[in-house]
Amino acid sequence: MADASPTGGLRTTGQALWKATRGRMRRSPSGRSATRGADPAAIRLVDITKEFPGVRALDSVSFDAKRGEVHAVVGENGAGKSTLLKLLMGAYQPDGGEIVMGGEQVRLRSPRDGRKHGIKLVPQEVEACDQLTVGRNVLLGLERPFVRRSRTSRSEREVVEAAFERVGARLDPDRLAGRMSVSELRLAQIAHALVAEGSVVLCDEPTAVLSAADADHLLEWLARARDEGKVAVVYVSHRLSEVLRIADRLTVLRDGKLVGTFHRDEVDRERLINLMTKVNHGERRGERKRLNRVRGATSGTLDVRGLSVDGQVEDVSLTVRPGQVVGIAGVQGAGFGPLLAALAGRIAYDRGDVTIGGTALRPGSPAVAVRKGLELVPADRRTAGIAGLLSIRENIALPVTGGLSWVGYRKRGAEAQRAGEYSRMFDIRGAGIHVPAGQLSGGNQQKVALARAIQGVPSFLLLEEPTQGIDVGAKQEIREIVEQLVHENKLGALIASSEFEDLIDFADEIHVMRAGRIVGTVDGHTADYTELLRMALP
Amino acid sequence: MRALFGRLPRLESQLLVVLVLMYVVFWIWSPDVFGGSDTLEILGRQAGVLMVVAIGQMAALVVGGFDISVAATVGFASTVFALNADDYGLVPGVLLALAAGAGVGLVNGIVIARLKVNAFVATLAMLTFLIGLSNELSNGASVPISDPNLKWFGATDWGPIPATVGIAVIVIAVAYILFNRLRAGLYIYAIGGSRETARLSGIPVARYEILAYVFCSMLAAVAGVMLASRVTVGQASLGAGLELESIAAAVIGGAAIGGGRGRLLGVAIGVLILTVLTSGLEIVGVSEFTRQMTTGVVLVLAVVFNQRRNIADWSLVRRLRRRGGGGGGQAGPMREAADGPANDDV
Repeated sequence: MADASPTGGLRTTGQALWKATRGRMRRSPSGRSATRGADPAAIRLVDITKEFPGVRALDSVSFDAKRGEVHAVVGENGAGKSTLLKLLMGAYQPDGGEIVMGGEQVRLRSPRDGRKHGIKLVPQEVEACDQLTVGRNVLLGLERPFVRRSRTSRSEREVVEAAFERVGARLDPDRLAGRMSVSELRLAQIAHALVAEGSVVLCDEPTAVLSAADADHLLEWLARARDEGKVAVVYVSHRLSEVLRIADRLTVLRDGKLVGTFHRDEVDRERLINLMTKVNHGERRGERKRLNRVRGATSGTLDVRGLSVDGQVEDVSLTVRPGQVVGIAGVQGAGFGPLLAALAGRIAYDRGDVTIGGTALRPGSPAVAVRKGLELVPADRRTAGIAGLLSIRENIALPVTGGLSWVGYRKRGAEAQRAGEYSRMFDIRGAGIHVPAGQLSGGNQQKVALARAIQGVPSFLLLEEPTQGIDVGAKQEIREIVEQLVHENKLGALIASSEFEDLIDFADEIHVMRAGRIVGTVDGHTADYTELLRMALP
Repeated sequence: MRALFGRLPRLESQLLVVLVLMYVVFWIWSPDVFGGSDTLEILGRQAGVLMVVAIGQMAALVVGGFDISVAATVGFASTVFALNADDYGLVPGVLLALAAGAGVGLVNGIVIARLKVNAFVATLAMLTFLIGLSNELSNGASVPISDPNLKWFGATDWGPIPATVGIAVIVIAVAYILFNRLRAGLYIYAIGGSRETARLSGIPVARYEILAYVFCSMLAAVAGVMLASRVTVGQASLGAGLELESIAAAVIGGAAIGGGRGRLLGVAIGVLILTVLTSGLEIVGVSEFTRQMTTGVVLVLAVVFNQRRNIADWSLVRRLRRRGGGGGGQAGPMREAADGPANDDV
């Protein structure tokens, strides 16, 4: 299964012949031949169209990736990036157009089929079989019929270690995956994609879960792999600075249409943002209404003194006043997640005092925290920020303090009205308020999560990584929504983020967190990115 | 002591201690009975059938489902065996019974893996279907087998050991190869551990999921033959109660409902614990009803214990990670920790 593309050199003539032999080709992927077609692209999409009920996710898009280059795909959420990736890996079949590999039209009927053709995905999620060793995870899908489950043989070990070397990882193949850190697992996933010979590596937001240092390392590896010239790398990311650093070519998608493919020299950050976004955000701001329902922080100041959580948060003190945005900057693992979780009652804290307007609050559960006016929008958006199977309307009706039920009886009319109102105000783009929230794009999910959170009429919003994995346009919108809540409704917002540029000039005050402690505090309006990074890095 | 436990994963060591302690308690309770080798032999006979079914159940659990049709499969296979044994001979009868079991597993697997029916619903439907089918085939009666050689499949001794123990040992050996030495076993663990990872690795997920259910049902069919041999009839209700007991034994032994977790040795000890408990209580004169109640309580306690164990590990992992530089600590709570050392092929 290692050698991939069925590049039948004899069959490079015409589609008619192709069609006649298609059935046979599928059953015998042995049509290997030394000659590749004249096509320099490892994989090429020609006029691909993909439709979903009511949406044309990709509209006649052409795309190609060559060996020895990194080809980045950028666009807002919902622009069609993930659809493109799924077509490339075989998870979706196109409704029109064709996929060509080595001069041959191919049909990728499943991810398994794609893998047979040498197309490997490094998925966005860091996931592994925790009960298996790292070595087993890396080799998964390549084993001979007889293998030891919990050990790797010497020859297998060599393969795994060679793959680790290529990604610059120093890992013990016999350690359980469940005992690895996220960044170690991410490297193992990339090793997994590389361990068998292949021609195309698809990276879906590979750095989203990594610390800045690990992300840096990953980009270095990608550059090395590119320079080896054996694989074509397709790179999807929202982090434009990364994209501009690593990509040789960039394809911009907007609303399922191809805006264009550019060489690195042709674009800069500003131009890319302009190409990606279609809406002039300035115009839309006028349409927004004030959020009348939100109570605001009438209850006084949120005061945290000496909070500690079992080794993850050490002696953290901070204050959030009504009408103030307080930022926490830190890399992954700095401890802001547990800090916010402790404030919101998701986990217990060991020591410290939390008071709101002088009244002590010891949130034992999220229910208590919500009642006291603390509402969390967590980083695990898909699993905790929204209820993915419930519709937008039902998500907005969820908060018990939202006033959308009478003695437990749901006021469905009021629900629909409220949901419609917020869909318009927050510009939640989807096929209406009855769509399951899980089907929305990341940015729209975040808006639903925010809308849900403020239904509980909080005094303080705790936002964890609010802009992670969402596109520039949506980031801007989320920011506007929060600004509005803070300035008009006098809410207090505590925003923790590993994307520092989203805090700068937004938060009034930025605390930098490192290894569970606050190591510095700077003015949010004069903060400097490199200064924050220097403080935040261990 | 240390030499014995040093090689064992922690859970298995703990289970072994529980097993021994339990036996000692019964011994003290009733020294005349539990001091003799006869009792061990009785326990062995009892454990053999449950062992075979629980190991099959373990495959279904590890792949991420479970099979509550095992008891009905036992009855169905015994009926098929009894209907054919006298006409075509014992060995063809056994082969037909195994084929019937494989067929049941194939249908279970296809319905669950391909048609995406929930394992609970699919195997519950199979349970009632099979009881009906068995009674239809046998006209609702038990089907006698007259061949005297029948006893070799579970009623008599193979040399020094009871036949049921012998069969259980063979099954353990086969299962050991599947779970620890074959690619197929690895994939069953991978699918149960992270379906998406397995899928992205190019593993034909449905195929291996079906295999796990086929293995499960075929072992239930083996148990059907063993029981038919013991009572010399085939009957729809022969395996009654085994569905719960097999899940209980596997879970006591560390197999997780939800998949990806479970080791053969642990499940084997789990079977012995459950057998000593229920048979022990029977021998000392506790009523059947009390024993049923005990099984229920023990099952829940086993699950609670397993979950506690994971939480303990989880904080341990966090501490280790922190010592190692703190990377990825934030996402720590999102990831489930693993138990036991890596190199335990047991």
